[in-house]
Amino acid sequence: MIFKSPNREPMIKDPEKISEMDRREFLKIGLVITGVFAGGSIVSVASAAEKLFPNGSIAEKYPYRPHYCMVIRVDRCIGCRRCVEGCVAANAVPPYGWRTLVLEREVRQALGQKREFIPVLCNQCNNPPCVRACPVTATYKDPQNGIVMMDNNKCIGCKICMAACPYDARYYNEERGAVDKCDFCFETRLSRGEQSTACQAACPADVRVFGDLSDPRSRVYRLVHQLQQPVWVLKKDTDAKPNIFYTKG
Amino acid sequence: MLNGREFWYGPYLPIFFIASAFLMGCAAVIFFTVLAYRVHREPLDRPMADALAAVGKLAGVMLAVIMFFTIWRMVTLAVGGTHGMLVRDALVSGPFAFNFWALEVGLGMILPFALILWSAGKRIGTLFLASALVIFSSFFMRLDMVVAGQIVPMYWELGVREYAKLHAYSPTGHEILVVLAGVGLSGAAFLLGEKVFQGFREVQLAGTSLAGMPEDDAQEPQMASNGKVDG
Repeated sequence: MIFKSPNREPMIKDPEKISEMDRREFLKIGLVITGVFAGGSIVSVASAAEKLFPNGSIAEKYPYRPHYCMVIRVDRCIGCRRCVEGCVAANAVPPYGWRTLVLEREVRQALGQKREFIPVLCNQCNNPPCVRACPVTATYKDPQNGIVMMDNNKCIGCKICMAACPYDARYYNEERGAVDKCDFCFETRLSRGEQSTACQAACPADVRVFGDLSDPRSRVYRLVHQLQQPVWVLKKDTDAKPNIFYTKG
Repeated sequence: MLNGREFWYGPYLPIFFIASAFLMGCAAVIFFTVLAYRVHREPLDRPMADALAAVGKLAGVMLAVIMFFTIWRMVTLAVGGTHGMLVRDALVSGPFAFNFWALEVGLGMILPFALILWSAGKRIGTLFLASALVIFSSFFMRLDMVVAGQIVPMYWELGVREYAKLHAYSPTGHEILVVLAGVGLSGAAFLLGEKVFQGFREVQLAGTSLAGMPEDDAQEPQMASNGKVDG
């Protein structure tokens, strides 16, 4: 079945002059034939995922409210690792795992400063590979704030999420009998009325800025929505659309 | 597919998996059928031998497909990102070189393929050996897939001190025990199946007791038309 208005010209007279409308019409027919148009599910999943996140660019609308995110100003980090200690203390992280780390990069040939520190943690992705991989939906995107949460009772400990995570941000917690990960201190701080994460509160150099990216008055919003300083994310190519931004300067 | 791991992600991977599942199925059919006949000390009859030879041909085709995809995967890894190249180097010339060349390619592809060709659809013993090799090497194929996919640290490209080396893996005692338990369980299930489902066989041989299964006699007339075993 081809949808065509009655007073339209014959479809293709001159192949050079295929109009935009004709192209669209043709595509639409193709979509109807493949049955994608009717449900629209396959197409819309891809496009919705595209809209979900800027991937470094600036989005007009954020899918969560508050849309929690963290901006890490890497050049300010002095490698004291008080954030790691604060995190361990707040969330009872065992010595064999981590929720946040400060990685160290040394470039001997560099002029001036030869070392830089790169804090890493769960990126609370908008398109999280771990959530897709979980066979029992024990890990999920919180519908309100977008934090990637764990349901410890559901977790069967198969560790597929650990293999799937592009940021290596998950570990198996023996005590909990479940995989554990950073939840932006939701359980220990945010849900109790605090406004910051433990790592941010412990940082003496104001490296980690935590906040609501959907609020134009927040610091994170101002740090991300500007063009003067570079803003990037880690492992952009996996298309996980992370919520941890890095900036310098 | 997990797109966070380059080695586990690619358009050819599903085809590779399906082809190797087919191959494994063919190998298992040959292996366990021949084994079942040996367990019962029965000679293979003509129709069954022909059927096995046909399965052997299919296994040969699937082996060719697997060989093609293995080569193709190695080629595409070379033009992919750093992760893919590191994994390829680990397989081709690194810590997995023995597993890859000897166990996967040698025992799992070239030798069984040669044996299947050589068997010419007649020598069932040769087919049996080829299928046993395929089953054996499939284990290492999967093991290498799982392990090599994870040897590159996730933060490799940052060039940080903490993740400057590739991960190493050696199985723990528990893991080896689990694998052995799996092999043992399969063997036990096979033998149990042969004992319990003996009723599907028409001929009862001397020394094979079916005393506890009265329904065998009822099934006998129906089964007479197929699966005839030479007395």
